[in-house]
Amino acid sequence: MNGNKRYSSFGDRGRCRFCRTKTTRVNFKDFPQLMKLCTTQGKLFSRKRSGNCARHQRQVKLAVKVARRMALMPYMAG
Amino acid sequence: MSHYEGLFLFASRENKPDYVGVEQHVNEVMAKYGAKPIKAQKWAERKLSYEVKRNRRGAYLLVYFDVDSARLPEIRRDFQISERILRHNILACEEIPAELPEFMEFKEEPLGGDDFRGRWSSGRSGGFDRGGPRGPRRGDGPGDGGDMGGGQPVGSADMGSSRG
Repeated sequence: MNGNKRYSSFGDRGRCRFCRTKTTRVNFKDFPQLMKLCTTQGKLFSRKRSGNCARHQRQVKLAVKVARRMALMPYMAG
Repeated sequence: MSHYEGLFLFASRENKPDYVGVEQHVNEVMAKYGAKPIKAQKWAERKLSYEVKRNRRGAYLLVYFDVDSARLPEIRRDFQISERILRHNILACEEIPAELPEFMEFKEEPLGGDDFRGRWSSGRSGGFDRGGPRGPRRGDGPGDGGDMGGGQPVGSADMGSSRG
């Protein structure tokens, strides 16, 4: 039983953070989380770096653009 | 009639945003085009990520409303022209949430503050971004001659002398 639990937690580690929380739509208003997916310069991390799945990476891309327009996130920082 | 969610950014002078005045202004614009505001909530007051029309601080008003989709471009145009609204964003939403988000107090978080290293990392130091200085390059050392074979092979002189 313990072995199965450990195995599932190990599997979750590599999954997309939005898939883990079963987020259907990435919201631009949740910009503190979006800021974690950006570099110190304000550029979006790659999928390899952020661990996002393709679907959520596309949603994050659009959400970051809206958040930048609403002055919630910088276009260029650092 | 469809549900929409509008977020309106306006100036917050001396840290005193005029939520009541802006909400009234938004309602007036919407009433002009037959929109029905359902819920309004002050969402945040914070330092902006960059200056917008010489304003360093701003406040956000979140409004849920119903409107005919054909009138939406006119509403957007009015908000774009408006001097009280700095920026606006209107999105369609399937249903209006029962509980609106509370007024948010944001602390200034730095960008890139996550320690997630991606699926290929083994959890040890290193991986995708080591962060440290790079090691010596090829050709930096005294004995490195590069790929093109510029250096003499070791022992070639001995081989020549043994033949003669």
